[in-house]
Amino acid sequence: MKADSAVLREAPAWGNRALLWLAVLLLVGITAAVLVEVRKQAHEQARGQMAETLSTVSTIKLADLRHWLHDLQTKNALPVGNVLGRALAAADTAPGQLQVPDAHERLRWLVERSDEFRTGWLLDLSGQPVLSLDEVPPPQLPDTLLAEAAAQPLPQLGDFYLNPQGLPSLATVTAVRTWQAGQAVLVGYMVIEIEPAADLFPMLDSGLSEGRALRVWLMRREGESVRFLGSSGPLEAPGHFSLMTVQGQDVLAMKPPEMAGQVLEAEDVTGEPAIGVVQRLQGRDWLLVTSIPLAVVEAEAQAAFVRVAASVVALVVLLAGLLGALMGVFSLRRNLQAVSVDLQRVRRESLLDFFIRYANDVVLLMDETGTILECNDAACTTYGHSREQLIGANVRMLRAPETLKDVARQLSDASTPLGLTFKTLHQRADGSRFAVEVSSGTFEHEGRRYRQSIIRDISQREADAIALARSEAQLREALDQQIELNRKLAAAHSQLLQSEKMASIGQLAAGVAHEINNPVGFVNSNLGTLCTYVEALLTLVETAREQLQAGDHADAFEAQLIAHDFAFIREDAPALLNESLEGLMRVRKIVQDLKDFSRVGENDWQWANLHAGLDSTLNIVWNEIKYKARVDKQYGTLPEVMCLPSQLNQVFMNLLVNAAQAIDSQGVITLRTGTLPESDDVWVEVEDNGCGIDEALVPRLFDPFFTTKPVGAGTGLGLSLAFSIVRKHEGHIEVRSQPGKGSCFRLVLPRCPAERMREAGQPAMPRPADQEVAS
Amino acid sequence: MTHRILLVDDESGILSALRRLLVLTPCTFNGRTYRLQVDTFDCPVAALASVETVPYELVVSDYRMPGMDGVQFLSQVRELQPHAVRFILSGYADLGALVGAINEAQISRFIAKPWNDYELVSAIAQGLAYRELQVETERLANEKRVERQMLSREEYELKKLEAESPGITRVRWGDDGSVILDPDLQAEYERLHPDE
Repeated sequence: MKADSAVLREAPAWGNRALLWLAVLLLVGITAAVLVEVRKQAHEQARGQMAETLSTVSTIKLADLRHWLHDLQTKNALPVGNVLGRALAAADTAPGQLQVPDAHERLRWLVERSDEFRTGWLLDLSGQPVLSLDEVPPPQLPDTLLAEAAAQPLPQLGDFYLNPQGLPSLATVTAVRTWQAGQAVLVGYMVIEIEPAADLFPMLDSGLSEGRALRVWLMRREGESVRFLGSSGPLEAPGHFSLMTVQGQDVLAMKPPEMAGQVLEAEDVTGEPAIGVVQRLQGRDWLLVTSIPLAVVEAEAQAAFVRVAASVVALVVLLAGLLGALMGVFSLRRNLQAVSVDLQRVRRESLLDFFIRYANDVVLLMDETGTILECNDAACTTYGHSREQLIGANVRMLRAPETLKDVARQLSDASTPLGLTFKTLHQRADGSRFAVEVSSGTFEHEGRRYRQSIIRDISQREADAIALARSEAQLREALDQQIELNRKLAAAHSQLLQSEKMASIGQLAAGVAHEINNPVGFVNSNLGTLCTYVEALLTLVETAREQLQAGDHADAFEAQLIAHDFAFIREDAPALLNESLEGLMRVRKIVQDLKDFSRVGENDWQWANLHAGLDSTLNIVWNEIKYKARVDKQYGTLPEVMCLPSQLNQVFMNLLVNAAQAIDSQGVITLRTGTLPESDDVWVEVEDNGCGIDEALVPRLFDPFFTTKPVGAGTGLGLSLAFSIVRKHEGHIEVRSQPGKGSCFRLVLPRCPAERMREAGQPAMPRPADQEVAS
Repeated sequence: MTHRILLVDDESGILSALRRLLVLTPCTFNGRTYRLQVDTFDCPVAALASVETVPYELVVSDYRMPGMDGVQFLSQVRELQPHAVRFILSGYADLGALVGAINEAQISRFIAKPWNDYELVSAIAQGLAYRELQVETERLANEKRVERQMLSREEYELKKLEAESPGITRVRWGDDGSVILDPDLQAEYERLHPDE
């Protein structure tokens, strides 16, 4: 496995190396080709640039030269009849001597106008000097030049010559004319020597970059050779001026005239290979040669090439470096992967070791007899033995003495392939015992059987289990208590409701007592009166009988009648009896209403007429209401409703009493009934135009013990009771109220509560059985 | 001389029973028998109107009545005729009613319904005797005061007149400055001539 992976890793390395070499070779080849091409290009470019520069410079220099010549002619022109002319004309009288000091002054002034004018002379017509400014002989000028000057209006420039000091010089000859008899007459010549090094040569040199070794030469063509006239550079020495004569077609200046202005490659005057441009000055055989040594051009090209080559090489090297780095990274990653695979393997192995070593449970490795071969840290801490003590000891040492008898059996049981898990007691080094759970098994390794046990201290778990059982028992007890409490609560609730009923009846007692005591009062009194009447009547009857037997006259009886106020009795007795009967009827009615109201003995669900219940309840509370409010009954048609009539009456009573109490002095209580159109539900409304209920209090209306009445006037249970009764009927109560305008309570009840319906559907089924089925 | 008493109860049965009782049963106390003239009203408001003009020696009222209860009624009677003896005859009254009856109306008796005829009649007789005594005492005291010049004769006469016919010393002024002798007549007149 290891060897295989090594080979697998090696193979791509070979391939990569070859690829790398190939890439390097390719790179070098391309680089070389590019460099050759670059070199060529650099040379061509350098030469091309140079040629362009040369053409430009030569054109400019030629123009400069022409300009200079023209300037010179203009500067040295003399007007006819000037001082010099007059002086020369006067000189005819004394040949060879010029006596006019003015002419001398004028000539000096003329010479001193410019730096390049060195000295000057005046010549007569024969060419002999008449006036010499610096007492030096005039240069030998060709006669043609004088003739030409005499013929031309402008001064003429001669050719180069060396003056007596050996300095290269030029001379201009200006014809001097004077007026004689109205005509301009030539009287002599003015010669001015010019020092080309002062102005001409610097002019040719000016603007040339020294570093590029550009040179401008002025030459004169002399047959098959050229004479160097002067310029910048090393040939400036005057000595060379006269000596410098070059010959041959290889020299730039010797190129045929038709090649003027072209860039040529040849030797320059110093014999150095150069490129240059030859310009010819028109009208003279002067050549203006602008050149630069070929070596300079080559050096420049070379320098440019070196710069470019350096960049290219640097680029290539950089590229190669990058490639190398990339490959390095790849190979490093590969190596890292290999290393991490190895690491994981090592870690897994050591983790397994750790796993066992630091396991919370005791792990023991034993031979077949139970002798401990290896144990983990937990074994030492659990049992309090050192590792040395444990290894080599028998596992029996850990057992509590009383469990030793099971060891043999458990050892054999654990030898099955499934192993064995059992609970037992173990003993620590200090003799304390604790409950453990042992998971034990055997395995075979290299021909030997081993036994392994994982032992867990479960003393805490056992204790927990006991505690759990205890708390469960406590909980069950608490639950029982709670059930008992709930039962008591339910009992208390029903008691509470009962007491509210009593309280409300007590409240009614005043009214009912009044209602009953009134008739009882007057009936009772009437009976007393009636007794008197009856006595009187009996007396009268007795008297009548006596008188009848005695045969008395009626007159006497009449007197008796008057004495006993018979007329009054006769008149009053029927009224008395009627009133009394009426009073008794009222008492009976009230008792009946009370009975209806409470429905004594009728605490069962039954079909009942709600209007009857409303009416009887209204009678009961009539005394509460009658002094305060008119009752407006707006009954609709109601079907009979399955209900507990006495309890509903209780609700009606609460609502009626509340309505009456809401009214301060005189009001109206409206009773309405009806059925909801879309369902079988019926509704009963009790509306008053009393004080109304604050909106904030409405949600609390049905809370037990909530009351707005003064202490003692209400229990606060009335509406709560009503609510629970209505809920028992599976109905609900709606409240509509506006403070100051009155309240309306609306009871909505199903014609038959769903539960009643169920029970009616299964009349044979006794309730307990019903519950059993449900559970 | 008859003694005029007033019975007020919203229950007509009670009123007729009481009337019968008082007609038949002699009203005797300490050997003295009082002849009674009984006025009955089933409405306290109407009764009060009568109290304003008719002097009563004794007033018996129910407690629970429409319009006003017995305490309110008797309190006003007491203001109009302080010497009239006041009873309450009621079927039921809570503690508040009793307290009001005693503190405000200052009744001298509270008789429960159903009543005992004999007890009721003798209570009335006792009340009348008591009132007589009181009036007598006051009259004597006033005479004494006149003697001692603590009371002017005019005042004395005024009190005497007022005791005989209550309200006689007070004058009702109409809006136009007229003197109204009978408010009922005045009201009737105004009803018939609304534009005047």
